[in-house]
Amino acid sequence: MGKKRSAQVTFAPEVEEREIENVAYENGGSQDESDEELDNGNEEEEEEEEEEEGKAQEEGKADNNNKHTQRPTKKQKKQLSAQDIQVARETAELFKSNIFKLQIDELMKELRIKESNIHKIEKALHRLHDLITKIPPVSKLTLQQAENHFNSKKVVIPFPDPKPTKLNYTFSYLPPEDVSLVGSFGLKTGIAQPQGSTIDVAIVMPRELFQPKDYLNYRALYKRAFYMAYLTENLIPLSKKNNLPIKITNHFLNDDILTPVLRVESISTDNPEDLTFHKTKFSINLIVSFPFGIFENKKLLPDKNCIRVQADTEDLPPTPLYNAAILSLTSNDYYLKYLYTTKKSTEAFKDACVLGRLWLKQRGFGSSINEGGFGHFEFAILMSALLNGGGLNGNKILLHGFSSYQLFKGLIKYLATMDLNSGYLSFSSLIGESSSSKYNSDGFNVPTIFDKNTKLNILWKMTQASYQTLQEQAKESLNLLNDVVKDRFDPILLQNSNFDHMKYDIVLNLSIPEELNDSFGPLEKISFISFDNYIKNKIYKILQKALGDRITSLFIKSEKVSNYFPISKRKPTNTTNSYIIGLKLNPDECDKLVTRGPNNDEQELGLKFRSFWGSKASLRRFKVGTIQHCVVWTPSDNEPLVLSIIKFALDLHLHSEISHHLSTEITSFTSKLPLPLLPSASNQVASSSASFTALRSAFDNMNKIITNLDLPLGVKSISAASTGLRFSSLLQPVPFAVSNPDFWNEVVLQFETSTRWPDELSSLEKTKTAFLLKINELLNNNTTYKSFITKDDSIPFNEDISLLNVLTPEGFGFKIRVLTERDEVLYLRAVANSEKQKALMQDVYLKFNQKYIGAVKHTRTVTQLAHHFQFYSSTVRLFKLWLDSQLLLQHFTDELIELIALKSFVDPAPYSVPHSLENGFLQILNFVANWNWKEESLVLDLVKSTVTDDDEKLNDKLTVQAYRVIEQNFETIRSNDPSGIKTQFFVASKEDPSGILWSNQLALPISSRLTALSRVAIQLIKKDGLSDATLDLIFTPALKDYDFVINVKSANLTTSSGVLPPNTFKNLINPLTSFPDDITTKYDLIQAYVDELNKKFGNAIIFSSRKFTGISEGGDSNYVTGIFVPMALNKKKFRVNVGINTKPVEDSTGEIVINKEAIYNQMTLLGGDLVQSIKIRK
Amino acid sequence: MVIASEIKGFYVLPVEFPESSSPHYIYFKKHEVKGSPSSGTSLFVFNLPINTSTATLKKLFQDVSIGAIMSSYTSSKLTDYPEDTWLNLTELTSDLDLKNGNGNSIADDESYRLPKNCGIITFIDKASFQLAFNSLKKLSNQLKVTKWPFEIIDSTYYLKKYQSQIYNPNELSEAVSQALIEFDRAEQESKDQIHSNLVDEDGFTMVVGSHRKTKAGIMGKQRLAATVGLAKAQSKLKKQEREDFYRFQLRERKKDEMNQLLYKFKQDQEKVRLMREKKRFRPY
Repeated sequence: MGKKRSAQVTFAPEVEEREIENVAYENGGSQDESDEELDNGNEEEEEEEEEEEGKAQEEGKADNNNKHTQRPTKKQKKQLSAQDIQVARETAELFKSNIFKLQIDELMKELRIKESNIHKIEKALHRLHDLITKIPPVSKLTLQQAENHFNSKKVVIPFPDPKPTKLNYTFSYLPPEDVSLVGSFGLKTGIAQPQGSTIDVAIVMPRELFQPKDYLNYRALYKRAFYMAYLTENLIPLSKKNNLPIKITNHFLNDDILTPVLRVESISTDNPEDLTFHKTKFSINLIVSFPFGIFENKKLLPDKNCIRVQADTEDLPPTPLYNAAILSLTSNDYYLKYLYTTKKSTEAFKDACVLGRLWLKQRGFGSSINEGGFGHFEFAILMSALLNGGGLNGNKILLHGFSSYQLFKGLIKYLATMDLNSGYLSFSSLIGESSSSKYNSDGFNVPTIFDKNTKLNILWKMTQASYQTLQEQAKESLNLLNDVVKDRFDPILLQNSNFDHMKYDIVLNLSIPEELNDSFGPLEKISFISFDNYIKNKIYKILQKALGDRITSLFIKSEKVSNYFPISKRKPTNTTNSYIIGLKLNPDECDKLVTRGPNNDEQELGLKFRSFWGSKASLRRFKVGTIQHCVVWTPSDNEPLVLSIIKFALDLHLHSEISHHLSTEITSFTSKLPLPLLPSASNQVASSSASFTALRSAFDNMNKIITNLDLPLGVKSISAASTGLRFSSLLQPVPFAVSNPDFWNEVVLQFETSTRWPDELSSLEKTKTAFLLKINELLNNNTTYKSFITKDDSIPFNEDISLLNVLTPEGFGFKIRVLTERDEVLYLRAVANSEKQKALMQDVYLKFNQKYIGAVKHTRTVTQLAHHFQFYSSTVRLFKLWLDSQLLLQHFTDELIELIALKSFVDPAPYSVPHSLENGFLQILNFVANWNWKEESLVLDLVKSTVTDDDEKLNDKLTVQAYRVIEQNFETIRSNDPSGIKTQFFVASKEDPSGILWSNQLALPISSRLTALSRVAIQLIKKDGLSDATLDLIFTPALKDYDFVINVKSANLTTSSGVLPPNTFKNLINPLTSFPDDITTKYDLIQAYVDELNKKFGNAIIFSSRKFTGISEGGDSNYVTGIFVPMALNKKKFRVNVGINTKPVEDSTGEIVINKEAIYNQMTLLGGDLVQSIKIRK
Repeated sequence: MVIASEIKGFYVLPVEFPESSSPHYIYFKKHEVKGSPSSGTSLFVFNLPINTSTATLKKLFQDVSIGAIMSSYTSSKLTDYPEDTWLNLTELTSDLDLKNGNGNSIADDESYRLPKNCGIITFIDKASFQLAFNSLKKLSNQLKVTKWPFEIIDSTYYLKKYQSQIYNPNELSEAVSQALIEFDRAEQESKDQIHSNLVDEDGFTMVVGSHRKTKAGIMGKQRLAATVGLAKAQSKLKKQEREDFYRFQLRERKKDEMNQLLYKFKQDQEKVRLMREKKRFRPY
């Protein structure tokens, strides 16, 4: 269809001409109008709303257009309509929402519940309904009688706590007033879920059973409990009789211990007449509920007390949770009707609900208390409310004509930008009433969406903590939705981002000791209902106060929720008191050593501050002259400051020894990083960047000295191009640590422009060498710097390159290479002139580009970003350490690894920017594990901020055009090389749109191994959880997979690499203070061996070994492993240029095959006394 | 176990290393180059063991055929090089005729053209060659495993490798000045040549500016960028003419935009279809 249409466009230009002009005119007109409106608008808010609405309408239209484009009528096929042209004039945003729409459509298909399942379940529901109507009534049982009515081994009345002992009212069962479907299944917004879904059925108790005051003191709930038990008791035999084999368990609806419901599951049987639905994975929740409006709703407002207990105080605290539980039991089917009405009036409502539901689910949100208390029900209600207003003046946030995407986006935007905690949204669920929903900015400091009709706070299950988390998520998704450059469908909807250790920077496990139960008194009980809620609230209050600005979000949840209990029990027996606390840090504040309190003259606040911090609080005069209360912290070795504060605060306010019950893995990550061997023993923090700064200043000093030398041609610039100078070398730069493979820092020197450079490569290099010789002479004779010149073979076939090695008095080493304006021209000329060898020559050019141009740009960018993302440096170093421990590091260019690691910082979706080593490392691993590099490119936008800046001109983000160029490059590469044999990782940025600069030399087996290893690591973590043992396992190399393993040993290099040997005392090891006489004696011989092996056997074997021998166990041993390239193992025709060690094939003429034995033998001989043993895989 | 003693005109020579159980196989034949003075005195050897040097070979011939005296051994430059073929960057970047220290043109150095693990052994005369060749042939026919005089390596070998990377400044500066003198000579030569007479494809004599040094500099601007995968943003000169002057220009532009849009939409559909086929829409 598309083809035809586009042909039409090209062939019939005359027809459209007039129409185009009309549209152009109209558009111009409408533009003016809207401008006028804006001018007239007095209030700022109004302007914004109008603009928004205008935009929204526009989008709405556009969306309609999309529909037209998909289903063109005959008339439209003939000529393009004005609307089509308007589509053409739309912005790139619509382009995106275009594909977004298509993707949503596909997703909807995927999420649809199977017709056959619906059919089956409906049948079961009908039968269940019939059974329920058959239950005989019973009336006026006293408590005693009621309890005796049941065989306590089979069914127990699930009375909520406290269990009633003496009551002056009776229990009855009468046929339900109504049995109806409620929840998403009734609304048809249910989605297919792998673990199955539940269908909510409300069984409304008849009005006659209640008295107006039954809302007080659990009365209604007790009656309900009996009703439930009676229902259960009768349902079991009835279902058996009627061929509906089911299993019934009790279950707390949404973790609310006041509302147990019955969960009905199907049992599979052999009897074909039985109606089973276990295969559909559906289960049915029978919610026994109260008739709508049975109690006076006003009495159940969140600020009213409905549980009367004896207490010393006059005023009993309000019981919001209890009230809300009662109210929501009365309004189950009422809300269904309300939502159904909205659904009828808004075409896309259903789809938008499904999107919202998936969005929440991927982020771990749900209606139940432990999942945050915001699920699809709350989502749907909020959307309905917003369709009737929701703005500050009751203006509409969403319009009925919106598409599902727009509804979804509008809602996310609302969640992200409006604060329902400090303010609240009030709406009315009264059907047919036209009163609009309104946002009120002064609220109750609890998340609130208040229904004026039912007096229920829809968000009653939410806490401040969970609301904060939800808002964070919404903000991040909104940024993604606003992204016009990349297609963000995946992270918004398809990826699950509910793994705690990647979601939070610090994850703590806290087990609450039994003694704390004592503090849960009767007053706490009525306001918090469960100990769970109480303790969570308490921890939240303490931590929030203690940490303040240091964190951006804090979430507390129970580690395991025991929700289910058999019908023969009154409540679940084993409750665990273990909680998970997740923290997101604020990078600007989290490491500040001083917690500032109020000024000295503010007496009252000062007193509060003192009472909170106890002995830690002190008074200090600050430089500005103010005297303030404050707390000063001392940083500890590898424990983040935040953790120390948490321990202190919890010990002081929760329980004196609670910090022993607090566990976290955050320190084990930090301790993985090798400690630098530096004299400042107390400040040896693995993640500090002081050593990098020292290197940087040594570089600046050298820079000055060389620039001031008297040379025939002035020095224009010396640019950094090494890992150490961009905060990302595995080992911290330590003075005089010459065994560190990163000891030498490459820098690129450029002279002032000259036209006299030779027009031939080898002579050009020779001329550069002449300059270096001059610098060498001057440095050695006139300064404290020592220098010498070495040969460099980093560019293949260019044998004349030499580098000036400079040892600075500070103890650092630099290698200077010279770049002239001639070099690139010459290499490109060589590429142009090379005919058959073009591919090879291009690789040479890429190598040149890497070393002389790319590395400099890369260093500049990474340095900037490392300053901005505080934890980038330590994270990338840990990632490198992991790669090295898996013998992979030497296969990758440092730059490639750094770029991959940057992904989690500049584009962390669906997670957020990591602010801890643990979080960063896991996110990188997770990304690598899930990166399908055969089909996806990695395009990085290497700018500091992920927040979209409104000022387009000021930010230097990737533009749509640049992004498209990059995507096209990727497509070209993949169309030539679909399975990624030559290029695996495509990593592009603005600096390198080619995407292959750093990943060009990678081999397929290595890329695949990286993916496989990271996948295993992530699986292990998800399965076994994080612990020291799993972490150690992740850092242990898998040697079994290699064809052979050579054990090699050389001198111990730990201290000379600048690493503090593990398990030693800092004060016993002296830091290095001078260079050795012959610097080469401290080099790692194993690397030379590997190098030699690669030269001699590299075309048949892929060798791997650790690049950092010094930090391996003992500091002197290492492995060299190898895998034969499969191609090399085949029999070959005899040719002189096979290039590998062969032997003639037995009983054959003219064929040869690889001579493995001879190769093993020669490899061993080549290693000499370095080789300890060689193990060959059978 | 039958192993051919001859493959495609090459004789097979099994040799043995210290502490090894299975042999290594070397292939050799007479090296004949038409019109070369060394013809008939040299041996082409293939699949040489690692670290084969003139000294090793001399020792070998002392063992197997006393009296055969080697004059030179040319090994492939590629043997200890990770790449499989050699690119001569001098040749690719310039047409100057540079000579190396021996006065030979760098371009014709044999060692760069030999494939990996190959070598040419030249003897002082035909008699020496015959002696060596015959004794090797005999060993090959008998399939007898010969001891290879392998020079034992220890860790100082690698230390020396590192040390050899460091240039002696005096020697280096000597070499550099030599090379630059040679470059100046070659450049002057080329300059003289092009300034004398340069005739282009159509038979016209080209007039050359005095600062032009080489032919390559004249014979065409470098075709940059496009050759390499690096898609450099092509900064074409902006057209000076106005784009919205004629009505047809507006019309065309709008039409283009529209076509573009429809094309994009089609592409999107295609993309989504592909994604669906790859089952990309499974949220779990």
